[in-house]
Amino acid sequence: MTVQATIATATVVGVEAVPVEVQADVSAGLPVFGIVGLPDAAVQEARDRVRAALRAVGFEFPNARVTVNLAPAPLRKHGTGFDLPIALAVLCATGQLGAQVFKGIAAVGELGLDGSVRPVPGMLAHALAAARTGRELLGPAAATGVVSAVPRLTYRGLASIAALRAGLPGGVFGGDTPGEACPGPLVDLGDIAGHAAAKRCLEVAATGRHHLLLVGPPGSGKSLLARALAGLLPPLGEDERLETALVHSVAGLDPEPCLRGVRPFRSPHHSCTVAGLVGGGTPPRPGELSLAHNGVLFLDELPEFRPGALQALRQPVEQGSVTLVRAHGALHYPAHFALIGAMNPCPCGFSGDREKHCSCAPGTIARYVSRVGGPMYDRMDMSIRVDRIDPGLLIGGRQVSDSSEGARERVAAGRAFAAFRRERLGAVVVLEPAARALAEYAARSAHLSGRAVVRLVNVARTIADMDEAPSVREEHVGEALGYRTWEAQ
Amino acid sequence: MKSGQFVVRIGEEGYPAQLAESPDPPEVLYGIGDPSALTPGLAVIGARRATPYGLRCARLFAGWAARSGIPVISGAAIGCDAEAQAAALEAGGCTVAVLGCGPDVDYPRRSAETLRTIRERYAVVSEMPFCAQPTRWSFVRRNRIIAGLSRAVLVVEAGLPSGTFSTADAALDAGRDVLAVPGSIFSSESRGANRLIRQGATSVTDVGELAQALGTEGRHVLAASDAMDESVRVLAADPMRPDDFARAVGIDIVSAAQTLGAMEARGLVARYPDGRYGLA
Repeated sequence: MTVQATIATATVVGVEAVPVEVQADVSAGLPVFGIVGLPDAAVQEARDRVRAALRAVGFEFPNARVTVNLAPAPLRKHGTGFDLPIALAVLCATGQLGAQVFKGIAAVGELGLDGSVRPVPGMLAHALAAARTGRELLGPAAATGVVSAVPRLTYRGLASIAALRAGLPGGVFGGDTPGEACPGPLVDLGDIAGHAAAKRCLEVAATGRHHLLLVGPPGSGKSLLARALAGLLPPLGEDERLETALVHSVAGLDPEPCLRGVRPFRSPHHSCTVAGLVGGGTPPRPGELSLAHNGVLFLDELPEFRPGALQALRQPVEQGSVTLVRAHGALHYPAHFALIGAMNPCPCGFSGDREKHCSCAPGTIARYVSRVGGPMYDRMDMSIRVDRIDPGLLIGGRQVSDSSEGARERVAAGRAFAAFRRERLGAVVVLEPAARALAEYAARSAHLSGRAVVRLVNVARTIADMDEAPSVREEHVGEALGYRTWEAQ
Repeated sequence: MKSGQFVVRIGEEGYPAQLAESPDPPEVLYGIGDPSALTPGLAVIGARRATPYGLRCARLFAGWAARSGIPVISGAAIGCDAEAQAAALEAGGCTVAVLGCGPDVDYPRRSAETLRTIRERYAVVSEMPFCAQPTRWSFVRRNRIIAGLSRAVLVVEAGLPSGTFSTADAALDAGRDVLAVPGSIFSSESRGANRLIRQGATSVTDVGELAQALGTEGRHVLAASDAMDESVRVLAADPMRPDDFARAVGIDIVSAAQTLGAMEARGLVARYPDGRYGLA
């Protein structure tokens, strides 16, 4: 006697769920439960969970030879999401459930020993794949909230496989966009005393999504300013929300804030490995760069990062995505973020400080600064010196300073004008003759690299956008020149 | 007389002083445009059969001169002359064309567009009356006017023999500096310029050398505004950061950033490694 059944599911590759078929074969023979089709250790463990879960809720695990194949066999499968489809395939093959019921349905979920169905990383990826292939998705009830963000998908949430005895659970049709909700910024500009130049610089960076480097002594407010940047950006747009949430979902983080429109703000510690930063590992997981997709990546104490990790940033910063090539193929993760770096000007931190004397030898400073590397400095569109402010300003009570609210409005207006300009004039940057002369003269006298010239012009264009000027004027180039990247002396 | 046309005789008001002092000045100067554009400038001349090298040199030096406020004087001939004058116009600077035909005649035809712009904004002059057609000898004669109107003559590219030599000779007669851009010893189009250098012309290989030869400061080529002069005085007394500068001068941070950047580009102030701005 041989009976077979097939259940559709998927495995996550990169940020995409690739369809996989779970085929179960129950035949006479020694009671062995085998899984084939390149399963990883977590998938192998499904055998024990499935057996226990089925018994716990009163189903019968066949006392026969059970073979499960995950097709396509050459694709490496990982994760615990195969528990539910394997259990379903076994139940169908043994006739405990009707195979007809699962036509046009994909299933994913991890099983507890008590038969409960639990969410797995990448629920959003599975939902998108099911919507794309025109299937309904059967999965953990706990994920219903997140998955309902996917348009045109019927999701059937299952709390325990015991419920299957009464037939399929009811479905929820997704696609209603979550309400407009942007939480208050992490740090309000109004709460930061002084630093007028740095605040202006943040506004420009937020408007043009420019990479920014903050240099200054310890305790001068670099980290505070960096956190304030996230609050200046407009909330995530409709399509950005799903895109960003998808990466978080695949990484096993809560995608809920992204779906509400909160821009990600990632600040990995400087002990971060290359794989932690750009992604990798087994199974591959998106790194901090991709988790900051559509948001802000803040690298505090830039020279303390491993040189390898910093150099690995170079290509993604240019390209807006990460491509990892591994033995079994290439993976793509999105990584379109605004980079903010912060660093001290020297190892002791007080080079150029007003009061404190710098105790570093000149050679040490050069070595410290060069740890970041010229190509990395070259990729920073803007840089600004942040200095310790007068203690009087800090102690003197509430500082009359612009709050993030006003800055956010200016950023939104600048972005709107930039979009309008691109539509009307195309991507070409028009410089007035005087602006052109100034930019050219500065480029020649400072021996700027080609990339640096392009960055200078782009920053000047953003400043002009904030002025709602159709062509770049001399003063815009002038201001952009002041934000030129701070190089090693 | 049609609009824009002017005629000046030697000794009359409006006749360029530097031209009057040169040997063998023309009795009458016919022109179209603005006679006040005829100030001592830099003559940029070169071969008509120009190589890309010659064109690039013409563009570089004429563009620099125009941006530095030095009028570019040339003959609008095909090749280096036309390139130099087009570059000057693009840089938004003054340029004057001296023709071997009437100032209203578009010759050479290919330069018609450039000539029209120069007539509108600056001046096209000639010793030939209006409507006079070009002759073979008139071009050699006009070269002495180019030399006479300028304070220095820059030869960007010249082969052997070359018409540019007559301009260089006229420049020496008039006591003007002759500058030449050296070229490859294997290029027949550069032999003339290289020979000029051997004969004593000043070699020019970058804008800094040109600035030095003309006796202008290479750094202050972009005009500084009064506000900048004031700011320079403030920063000379006490180098400071943009925030402090804005407070000291009483302007908002955006204007402060714009002023400081523009001043730094002009070489008036420098950004110190610690982020302060001070005297260069």
